[in-house]
Amino acid sequence: MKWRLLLCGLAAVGLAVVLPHFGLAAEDPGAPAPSPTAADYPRIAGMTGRPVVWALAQMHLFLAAFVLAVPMFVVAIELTGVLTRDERYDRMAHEFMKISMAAYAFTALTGGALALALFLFYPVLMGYLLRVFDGQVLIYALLFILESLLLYVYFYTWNALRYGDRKWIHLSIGVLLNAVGTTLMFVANAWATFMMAPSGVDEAGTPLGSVWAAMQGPLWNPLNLHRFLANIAYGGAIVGAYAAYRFLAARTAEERAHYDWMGYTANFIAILGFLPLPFAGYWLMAEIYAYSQQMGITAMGGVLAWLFIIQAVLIGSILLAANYYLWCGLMRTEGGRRFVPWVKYIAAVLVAGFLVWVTPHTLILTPQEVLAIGGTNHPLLGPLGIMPAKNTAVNMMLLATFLSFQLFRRASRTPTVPWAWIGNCVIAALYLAATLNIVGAGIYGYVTPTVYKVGASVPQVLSTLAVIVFALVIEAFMYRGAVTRPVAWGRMSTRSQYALFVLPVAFTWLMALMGYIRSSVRTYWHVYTIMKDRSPDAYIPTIGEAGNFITVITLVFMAVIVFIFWLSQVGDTRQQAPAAEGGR
Amino acid sequence: MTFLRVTLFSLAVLLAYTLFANILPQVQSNPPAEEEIELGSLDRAGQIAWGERLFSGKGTCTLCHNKLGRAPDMLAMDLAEELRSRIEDPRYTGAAKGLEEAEAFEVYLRESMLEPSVYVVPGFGKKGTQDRESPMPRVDVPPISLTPTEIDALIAFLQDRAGVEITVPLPAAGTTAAAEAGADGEEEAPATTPEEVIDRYGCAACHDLDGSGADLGPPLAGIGARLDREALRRAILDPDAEVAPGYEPGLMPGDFGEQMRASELEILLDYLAGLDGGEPKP
Amino acid sequence: MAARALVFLLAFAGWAVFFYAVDWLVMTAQGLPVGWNLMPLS
Repeated sequence: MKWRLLLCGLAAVGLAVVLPHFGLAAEDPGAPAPSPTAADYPRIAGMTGRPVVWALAQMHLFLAAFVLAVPMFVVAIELTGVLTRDERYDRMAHEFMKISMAAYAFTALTGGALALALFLFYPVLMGYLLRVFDGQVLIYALLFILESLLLYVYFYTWNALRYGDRKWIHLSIGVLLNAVGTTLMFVANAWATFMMAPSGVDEAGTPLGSVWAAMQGPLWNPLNLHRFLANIAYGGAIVGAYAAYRFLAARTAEERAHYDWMGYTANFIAILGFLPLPFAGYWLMAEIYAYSQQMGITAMGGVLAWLFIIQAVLIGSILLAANYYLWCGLMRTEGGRRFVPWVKYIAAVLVAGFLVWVTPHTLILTPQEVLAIGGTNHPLLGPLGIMPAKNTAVNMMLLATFLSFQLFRRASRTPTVPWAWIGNCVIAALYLAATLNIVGAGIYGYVTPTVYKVGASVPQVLSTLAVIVFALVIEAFMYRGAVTRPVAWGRMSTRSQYALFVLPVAFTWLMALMGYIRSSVRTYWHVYTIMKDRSPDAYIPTIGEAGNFITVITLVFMAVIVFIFWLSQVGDTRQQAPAAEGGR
Repeated sequence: MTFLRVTLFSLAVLLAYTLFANILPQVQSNPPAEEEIELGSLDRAGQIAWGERLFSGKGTCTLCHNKLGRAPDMLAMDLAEELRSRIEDPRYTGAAKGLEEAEAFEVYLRESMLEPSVYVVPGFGKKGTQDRESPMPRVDVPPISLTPTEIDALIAFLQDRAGVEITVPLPAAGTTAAAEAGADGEEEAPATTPEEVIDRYGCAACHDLDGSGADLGPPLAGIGARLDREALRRAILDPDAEVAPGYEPGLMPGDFGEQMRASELEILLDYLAGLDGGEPKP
Repeated sequence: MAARALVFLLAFAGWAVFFYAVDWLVMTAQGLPVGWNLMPLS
């Protein structure tokens, strides 16, 4: 354990010492943004800055997302354990935390390396950012030290503060840890969004004197929400893979049951974080459009537009995998079998939605292909390429996923309240009305100009949210005092576990892809409209080039995660004491 | 064993995503080149052609001014009629009111680029502002950052399209401007012969030309006798405004105005106008 | 069965009104007209 502490400590001290040093080097605080020339971008060992910074930043974000997310749901699970007095929850929460602890050192390490790389490769930009954000790096460093302290205290006092009032102290430490962690992320987000949509500076980039104004850019809060939710989904997906691996490697039925249950919980967390994510993404995109139409169009209609087709494929595979896992889970209970016939309809909706989503908007074709098809859009499938169709599809897919989830919850419980049939009718009517509204708004968007298309997507999103919220509320009342049937944990097929591996792989790749988009919408600006990027890397790479790079980063991350899993497992094993030398 | 299987499975998933990213169209977007070009020798036609390039290139106007309805589609409308009615609109309070037409257009166009909210075309305002605020960015500040000479060229291009006298000055000798090539992805060098243009934009895939035999669009032999240069220009830039009888609207791409360079369009027009029923000229 | 159908229809009508109200609010807040008669069909 000590070496991890040491590593974190070193990284933290390194950050705290290195950053202000560069801050001092900055020139007059009231000057406009500097304009770097090609000579201001050093090559180190033949490398230009971007690949190094890209890889390190992405690695740091993967790990940080995981490390920040796990304590959030761990506190929630711990609380559930206290409220239900079920020891299993506490044990699982502790196990989740153990995985996260091993990842923490790597997070600090990559964070330190990222900071170093940024200062080495982009000294002018970093000097300017330090000037804009003034003493904030110090606060960040302090928060980081505080986060480390709280994390270690939270983890190592787990068994010491186990019952009664002490447990509540432990929970409070957990809440505090999450508060610090979330603040830490929000501060770092402000730097990223400042580069995309600068605020708190004038047109030439002269800081107007308020760090708070520089933080409060138009994209800050949308990004905060988006990353917050995505982190939870991501954290859930990764611990899900851990559980799936342990399930597959389990030797006893008891172990299988435990890791099956853990995998189920992790998948549940991942879906919970994932369902509202498209809406947060929608808000972020709407704010980007409001800030600069140009930036919005660059992302959605220009060079980067194809990436959203890839995004659709990834989200589609995530939804399919998560649903498949839930369907397999129906077999765990006797009550689940009666829902099995429903599965094919849900699957049909998902596949149909997925197909609509992968239909590209405009195809880049050779003249011969244009001739064969008779236009740049397919006469029948062409209309599926535009936005209202895609919005309709994503909302229907989310509804289908939520339905799968509801069926799964119902599989193990039978309501006892007398009005249960009314509740079921109301929920069924809710689904039907929402579906009609979503499809109706989709058609409305079809026949109307662009402003209406965009306008009509909001009611669609609200319909999906309404189903989720109202159905959960009605069910919460309906299942009070419900009869629960035993769940045969561990009765899961081997194949179902592979769905839990699709999730983290797809999430990791998707996260890197979206990071590439978020960074690329700035086009050739370091700080949009204020500071140009004049490095040789100022171009936006092709999708294939970016995809290959992302795959390499993902591979490295997977290797790190496997190492982390191994570390957290090896902590449990104890070598047998050598048998005493017999005889003598 | 489990470990190996899980690893292979994850790698396969990863590989599938990577392959997918590699089969999509690959476009690299380069920053605009910053070397200076000499403008002093530009004549009127050159200025208009430059304005047209700015319209779809550095000015990024076509991002919104297109047929998708984000902003008025200036290349498709009768610009003169539209500008006249806007300037006469009682809601318009800008500086172009009461001026002689060509000059009024210049003042109006400049104003609309530098202070877009002076007059908002009904239905195109920012949401919830009752058309009092325009969503259009000022073109003289980053990220667009057009220079005064470039704005002049844009006005010249638009005045030319509206069919009025061009009132903006030509760039003074010694003026330079940043070349905007490569602003939207990698651009090839412009085509210099009609054959190259026709090949690059695939005209013969749909139109019968030199015996290509295609019949999705009207044959181009003798087109110069049927349409004059301006009608040809319209037919290329806005193909669905008028469709030859017996042919489907919507087949010909409407974005040649954005894809082609002004010089290429002129070469193509010269060539097509020359196809007057006699032997096609080389 | 009849009772079920009745409850379902009532609930459906209720939700339909609810969704229509939400649509109306959302569209009006964006400064866009709503209603089938106002739909700007070409």
